Amino acid sequence: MLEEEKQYIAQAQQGDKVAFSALYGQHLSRIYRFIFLKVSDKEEAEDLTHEVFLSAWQNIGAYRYQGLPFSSWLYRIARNAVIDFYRSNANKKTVQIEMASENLIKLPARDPDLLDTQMEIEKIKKAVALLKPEYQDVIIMRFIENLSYEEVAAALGKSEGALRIMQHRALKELKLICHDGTILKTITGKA
Amino acid sequence: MEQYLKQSLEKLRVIEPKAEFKEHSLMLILSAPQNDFSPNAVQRLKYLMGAPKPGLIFGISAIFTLLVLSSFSLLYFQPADKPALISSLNPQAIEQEMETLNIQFSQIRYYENLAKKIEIALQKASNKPSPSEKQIEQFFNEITL
Repeated sequence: MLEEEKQYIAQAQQGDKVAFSALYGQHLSRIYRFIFLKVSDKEEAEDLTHEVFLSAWQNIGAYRYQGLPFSSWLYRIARNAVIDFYRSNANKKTVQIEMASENLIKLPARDPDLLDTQMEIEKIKKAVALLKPEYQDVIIMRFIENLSYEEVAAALGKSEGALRIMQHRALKELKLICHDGTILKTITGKA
Repeated sequence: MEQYLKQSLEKLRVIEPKAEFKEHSLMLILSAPQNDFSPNAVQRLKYLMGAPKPGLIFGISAIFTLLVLSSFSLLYFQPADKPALISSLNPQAIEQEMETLNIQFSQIRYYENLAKKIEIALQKASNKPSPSEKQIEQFFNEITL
């Protein structure tokens, strides 16, 4: 963990709002992405992200650095928030995958290359949404957020060995979903 | 394929929350109060939740042991100067007590009947008004003693 971050945490634990704002700025985007890719809905992702940081602000006094980096602590809160969200909306996941197209990531679409990128992003986003929740966690944290094995293992409460096996399986499943346009077949039911 | 997949995944980093949401959410979060995790609170909690206190543990266990032993002694070593308690646990003694009581009741009934019979006999014999209770008692004493 960076010295600067440790200092921010210590200050935020004393109720320093500026220090917490710095931590919020550092981690907001990645936590939001993590949640958005798991719930596939912008508004839900915003609500859950808000809940995560509210809980972090209220309980930062309980955080102690004991091998669990701050980012991993935040991911743990985020994971629990997503689990609670699906528990309380048991039938919502399928609906949200169908609705995912309404939550397109908006890039300037005039350039054909950018349009291709946008389509590619949508495709990979949908592929990630079709993975098992624990595989989603690994893929998002390892390949989108570039977290270390140590950080991901701490966030998921697994050993590094178990995490490497999970990562291998997650990539294999993602390849299967993306291979030969299977993703399109799975989502739209069309060839 | 794997490399291509990883590159595609990296493109998902363009996903960002709206600036409006960032500001609004942070403002709301910082206006909420923090939970109290100060060292004093934690220490107080630790003290209450059981930091080991040998004296207290010894005292409680001694009281508990005394209570258990005294309840056992009450059950198995009842004092001999309480016959009612002993007899209440012995059916033969209960029967004996009941017999004694029956005898006493029948004696009482016998003397009551006797007094009435004497009263009637005296009335018949003398054709006089019935004697007073004092006279009957006197007569009764003469007969029984």
